[in-house]
Amino acid sequence: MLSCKRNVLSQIMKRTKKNKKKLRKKTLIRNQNPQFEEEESAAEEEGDRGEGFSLKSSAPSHSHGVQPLGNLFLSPSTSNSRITGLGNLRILTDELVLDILGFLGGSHLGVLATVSKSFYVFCNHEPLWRNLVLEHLKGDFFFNGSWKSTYISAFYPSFPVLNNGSSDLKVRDFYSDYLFQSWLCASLEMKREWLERDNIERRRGISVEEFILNFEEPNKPVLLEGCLENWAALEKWDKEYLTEVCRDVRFSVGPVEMKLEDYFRYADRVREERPLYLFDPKFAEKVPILGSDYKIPLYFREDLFSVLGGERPDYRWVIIGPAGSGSSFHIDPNSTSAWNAVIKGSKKWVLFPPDVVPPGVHPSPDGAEVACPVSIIEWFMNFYGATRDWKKRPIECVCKAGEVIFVPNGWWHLVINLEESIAITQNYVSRRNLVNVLDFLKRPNASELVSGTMDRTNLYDKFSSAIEATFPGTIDQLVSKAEETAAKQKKPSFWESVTDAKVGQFKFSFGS
Amino acid sequence: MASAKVFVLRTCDGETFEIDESVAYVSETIKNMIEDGFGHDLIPLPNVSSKILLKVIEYCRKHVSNFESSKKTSNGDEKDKDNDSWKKEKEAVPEVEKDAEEKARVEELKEWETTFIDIDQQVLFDLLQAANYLNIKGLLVMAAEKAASMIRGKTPEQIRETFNIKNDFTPEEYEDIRKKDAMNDFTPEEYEEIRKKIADNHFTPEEYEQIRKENAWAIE
Repeated sequence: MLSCKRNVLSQIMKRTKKNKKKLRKKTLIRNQNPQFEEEESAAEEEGDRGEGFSLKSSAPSHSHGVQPLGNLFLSPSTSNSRITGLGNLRILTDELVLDILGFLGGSHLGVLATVSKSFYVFCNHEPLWRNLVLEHLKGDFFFNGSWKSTYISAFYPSFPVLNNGSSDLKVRDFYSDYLFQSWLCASLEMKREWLERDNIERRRGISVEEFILNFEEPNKPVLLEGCLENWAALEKWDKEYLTEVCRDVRFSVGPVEMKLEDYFRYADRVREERPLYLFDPKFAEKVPILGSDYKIPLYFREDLFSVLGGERPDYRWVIIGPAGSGSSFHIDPNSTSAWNAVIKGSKKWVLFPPDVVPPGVHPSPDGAEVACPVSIIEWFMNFYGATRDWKKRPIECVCKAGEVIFVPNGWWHLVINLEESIAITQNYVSRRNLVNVLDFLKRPNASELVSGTMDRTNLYDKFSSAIEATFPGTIDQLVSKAEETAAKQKKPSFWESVTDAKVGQFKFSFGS
Repeated sequence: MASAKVFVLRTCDGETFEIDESVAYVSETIKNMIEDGFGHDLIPLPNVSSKILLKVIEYCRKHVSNFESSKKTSNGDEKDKDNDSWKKEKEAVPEVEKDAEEKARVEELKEWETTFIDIDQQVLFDLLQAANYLNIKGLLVMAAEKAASMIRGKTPEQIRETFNIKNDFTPEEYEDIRKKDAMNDFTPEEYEEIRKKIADNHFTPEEYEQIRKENAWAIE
């Protein structure tokens, strides 16, 4: 069953100030950083504006006592052990040092860790060990509490490894923004105010026509309640059931494939900034009973890509992940619309309409790449505040078990699991977005943009001819209807906006 | 050849360098600056000295000429984007000849890289920083790998010597790591001791097993 400790959402709702103070005592950071504490209490006075963060109650202090660079100015000693400890490498940034260490194998990292306190801290940076584990073991790792201990127990099984972090050395004078930030993001809980805004429209028991008229046609998101009543999955799906039914079948988890038992073992224990996320587009093909445990809600039954049969792009995924996992801002591929149903757990959603680029996100002009350099938690820390003062506020909600969210085509969205969650999502094309999808597939850079299929450049031809064959005349009908509407609204089509590629295409960006 | 565009870079110590467009574009940073319209005048690089920029340009030129010759022989290993034209050229040359030429090209490149990166530590780290700032992935990887190779296989003391690092563990802390983390190597003296003991056969098999278990994983 889902452990209570991981239920971040309920923890936040229940927390009182008293508990907050208790938290402070546990963590080294607070005690050593008077400035940090000041900011926290100032924050509580002002209400929401402060920089204070609450750490997950299961997070120990940074296991090696790393502090952010700002602390150096306040500490009585003026030395940063980084200077002598890195020797000639001290002129390099933390990221570059880690780039170098990324080329070292496990035993060499181990040796390097004993060279100096600074290298001790660097060499214990978990992402380094995660890369080694994934590179050498792929999806067949037995997660042992940390990536480092996972690596050691796999390659040096006779070596006794202690699982908790309490055996690690506490380094006193080490200051590093990068390493501290990395730990902070891994240990952070979602702040209450990030979860407060819930302005999505909610509906229960509406008809398909109502849905199309009020939401699908005008391309508006909506949260639908009560339409998963007939889902066996809601009753049956938990870790035990899934592990039993899926046994040795492997599912896509980031760069590797894993058995569910191994993945759950990892998800139960991990605490990192960007946890591995199970996201599999062939789950129903791999384990057919999973496909029969759920039914597509009424509203989304029109599924035009089905005319392509086995050649259709990926369209349905099972999504499983621990608290903190999720997807940073993106627009769904092929200009499709989507629905996302939570079976277990809960997800926080932040959505922006197609013409509003979220703060901190930088799409390339051709749309092929989206640079969102920060992790999800970092986005909340650095950019969420900006959304509050803008007229074009995002749509936000927390989607709980039994609820389904409709994500209209072209909308930017970010999702974060607030606790361990299991969900199913499907992307689809109906007559309402068929024209958009065809436009998208027609684009000159379709080979880079189209996703979910091996046959990118021909998808347009295949799809449009298949539609014409199955529903003759539909395409022309819809295209002329769309042109009519566009003429009325005087909205520039993609083709017209191409000429303005460098100038103001994304007019409503936030700041720099 | 059609007249290639030329750009002028200026280093932090005031020197200027002229380079072709294709060479300039190896740096993502410079490429972006040019695309954003800053290519007409001098392109200032306040973070790069002339000594280092010389090395960087050498790398970029080699990268471009290597890519040119690979178009004739390769099977598409190059990850550059605009390489559709190579498909047509490829058909012109018979397979067997291509393979041999390709092999030779790769060999030559490896040798060139080994010589190129055989530089002073200080220059290496400056080059690493420049590659980072100028966003030249291949050079960054090459320099980082070289630095890693200077760490690999050395004992902690040797590493300290190489990079002028101070051992700032207190004796208690060091013992702590060795016992609990024990990811370390033996000191040269300890190696000597163990070596002698083994040579003089003073270890019982059990003792040797014990020592091997406790500390061997990092030195295998």
